[in-house]
Amino acid sequence: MPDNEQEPVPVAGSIFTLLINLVRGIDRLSFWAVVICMALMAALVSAQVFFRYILSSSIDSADELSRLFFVWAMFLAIPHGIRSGVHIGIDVIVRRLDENIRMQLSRLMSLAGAILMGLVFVVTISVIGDKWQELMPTMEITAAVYYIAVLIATGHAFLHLLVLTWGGPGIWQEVEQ
Amino acid sequence: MTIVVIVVFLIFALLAMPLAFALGFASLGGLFVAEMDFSVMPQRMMHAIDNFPLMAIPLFMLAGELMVSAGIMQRLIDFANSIIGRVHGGLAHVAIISGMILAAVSGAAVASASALGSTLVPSMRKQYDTGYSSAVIASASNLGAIIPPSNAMIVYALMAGSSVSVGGLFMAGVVPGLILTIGFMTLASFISRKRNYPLTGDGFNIRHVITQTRRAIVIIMMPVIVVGGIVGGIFTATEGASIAVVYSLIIGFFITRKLTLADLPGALFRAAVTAAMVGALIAFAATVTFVFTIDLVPMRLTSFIQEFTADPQVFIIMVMVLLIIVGMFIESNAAYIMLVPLFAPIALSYGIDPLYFGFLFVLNLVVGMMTPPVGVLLFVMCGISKITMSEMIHSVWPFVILQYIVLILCAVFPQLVTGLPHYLGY
Repeated sequence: MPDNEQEPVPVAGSIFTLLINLVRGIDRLSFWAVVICMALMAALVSAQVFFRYILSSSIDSADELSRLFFVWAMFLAIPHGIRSGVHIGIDVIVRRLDENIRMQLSRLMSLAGAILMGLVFVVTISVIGDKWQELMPTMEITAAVYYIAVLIATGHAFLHLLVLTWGGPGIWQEVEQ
Repeated sequence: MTIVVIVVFLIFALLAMPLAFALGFASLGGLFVAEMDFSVMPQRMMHAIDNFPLMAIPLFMLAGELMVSAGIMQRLIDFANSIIGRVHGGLAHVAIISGMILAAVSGAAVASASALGSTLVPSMRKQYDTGYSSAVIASASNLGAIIPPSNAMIVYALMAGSSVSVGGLFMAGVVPGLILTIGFMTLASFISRKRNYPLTGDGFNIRHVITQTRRAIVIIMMPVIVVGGIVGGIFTATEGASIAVVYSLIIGFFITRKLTLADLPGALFRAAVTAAMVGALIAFAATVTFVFTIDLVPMRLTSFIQEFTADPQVFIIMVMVLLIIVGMFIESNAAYIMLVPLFAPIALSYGIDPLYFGFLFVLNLVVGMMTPPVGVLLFVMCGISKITMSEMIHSVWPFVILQYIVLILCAVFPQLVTGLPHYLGY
């Protein structure tokens, strides 16, 4: 779980504290969204297997719905990976640098990452607009629903990368101590 | 525009930006130079993830998480200990056998390293030095990506398109996986004898073996059912993975009775975040692949390499050498996603068996997970065992060399790789 009630709050009153609290709140919501999407995806695929191989029938739209939940789970989980550091990079060269420079470089890369996410976020808004009238093949739901996951993920990732830019790479450990 | 993509990627990657995001910047660079609309990017990202076979990865990871939460580790360890505990390097053998069985449950090396490391390192370090214990666990965990089911093979098959089947690749890993297991155990025995490590574990007792086998049989049956079903063509890898999840829930709730409802959100979340690491790479790499395709990179690379050599063996050697270098610096999933779409079609054009090429590709990058400086398993084990990277590297090199020997054996004797899948009709 990304967060719990016992986490101490950093210096109150600053904009940075507001940002941290905002990201924590989104993390909490997103945690449950990821859990629910994963659970629904697993349940749908399993149910489809049961229907197909035991009852010789199938659930309408199960394949499409399970893919939709999968897309949502994967995109919503990407920002959590930024916080827990699962997105791996090549640090062979950077590790040889002075700690101060390394820290500044890490912040710079977080800023660059935030710009990337911000850009994809903005572009995705127009894609959602374009896709809004399009329907999913087997359901009367707009096909834009897939892209909403990309929008939320890039927006959430933008905020996480902003926290890392502002507070440095060890900010979450500091906040949680 | 290909040059721009490569240069932008290298700049950001070498400055330690996460590889997924470096690929994102490279994509933007390529689209900018090609004067294409940036809206291509979210569309490519979404379509890359909206893929039914890819769902097998989080589902297998979830099955592994649930199995560990269900307390299977102690049963596996007790089972392995009853068979092979009382020999030289007994605990090391227990770790390797447990790793082999866990590999057939989770399909992921890093997850296996966490599960094996946290349960076995405390008892192993009482008998052996910590570096050696960590090296054994890292090697046993690496079987996770070779013995079926393997998430690495799922990613490879996905990236290679329709040229290779997941079931065929799974079967290609069986014989080399067993050779590696036996090789690791032989090496562990040799090192234990040389260092005079004490004998551990109980003596062999057939009744004890039967008791422990009964307790472990439900766990051992899972890969038999799941992999058997996938290989037998009864269900797809994704359906097999969902069966593995249901099976793990049954074991956890009704057999070991250690899994609780409160464990489920954490297991679902961890599986999603770990799979999202692969997902992010696939999503951001999708636009790079798109840029490469419109710039005809695969065709140009094919004709360039074919002009350089007409000999398939030379091509294989070139790719293997490249992958050894790449495996040292780039995380293996990133390497599959970037390189498989380029090299798998070339291998086909040389008439190389796609199963043979695919397995060598996977094994090469799997060994790369244990080679410095970017060996993911080394980092995981250093974190669990609290040892320095230099201690870890000092202890792990015999196991790395052994894996390269097996890689060379597989390259020289293709039957080791393709014999079983061909026999089964792949």
